[in-house]
Amino acid sequence: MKSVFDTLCEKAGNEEVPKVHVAERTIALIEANEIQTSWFWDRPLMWVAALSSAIAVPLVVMAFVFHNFWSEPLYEISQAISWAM
Amino acid sequence: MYSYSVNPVFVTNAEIVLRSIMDTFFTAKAETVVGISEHEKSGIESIDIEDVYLSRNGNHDAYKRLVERYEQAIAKTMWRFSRDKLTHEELVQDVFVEAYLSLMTYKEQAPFLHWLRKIATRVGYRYWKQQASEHSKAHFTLQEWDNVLSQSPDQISTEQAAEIIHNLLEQLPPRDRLVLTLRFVEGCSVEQAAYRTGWTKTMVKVQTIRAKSKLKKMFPNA
Repeated sequence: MKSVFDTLCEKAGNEEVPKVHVAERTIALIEANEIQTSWFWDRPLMWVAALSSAIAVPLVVMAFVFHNFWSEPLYEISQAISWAM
Repeated sequence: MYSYSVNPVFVTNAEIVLRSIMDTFFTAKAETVVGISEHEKSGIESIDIEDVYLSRNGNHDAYKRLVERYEQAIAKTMWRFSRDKLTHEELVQDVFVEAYLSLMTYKEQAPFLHWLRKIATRVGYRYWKQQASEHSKAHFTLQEWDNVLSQSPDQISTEQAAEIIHNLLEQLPPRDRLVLTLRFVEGCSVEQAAYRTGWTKTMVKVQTIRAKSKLKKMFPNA
């Protein structure tokens, strides 16, 4: 025998659903989004910013690696030993 | 009434792209195996494929045709997620915007509508999770449930039944609510529910049993 829940679910599945018309608005949203995206990439300053970021990031990483290397506590000792020898 | 006011395009773009990549890598195999029978594969409309191809190349008229073809079917699915007309319409619109942004991930192995329903489930589930985090749910008391039990099911109209089920399931966590909605209200098989949620078949089965027992604990004789 079907439970009350099952019976109600079956009825709920046959419910008439309100009609929607979203095609126009969906396309308008998509177009607005595409305009915004292209506006971003069309600006020369944005390109300059993107390029300089692309150069700056590896430079910062390299600087960090070199700083760690030169500030190594054993570095001075190893230099002194190599000089004495 | 709760207002669904998140702008879908500008807020979730990164999320959608990430999810699309994840989908491509992790669910592509499942999509070809789970839930899509040979019969369903033959239901792939060539007109859809043509419009999808044109839409991918930026033809908005083609995408408009796709939206017009499937908006009522998606509206039916989204009505399970929100019964507020304004929110419902926004959810339907979100589904089509998200689908447009993920069009590249559609592989012509399943009918377009199935793929859309998968996105619809994702959008609806996200909405429920957002609602749950804001604690904005309607209360459904035991007394109201007793009133339902005292009536004969024949006396209850389809609209009333849908309203009762919606309010009843709203008392559960989104995950339980989703699996029960798909299995019992939408009438999905385990395979179809697994395809729509992206879960495994075992997970769907386990989740269904857990959710049903939770519901019975909360509302006796459910």
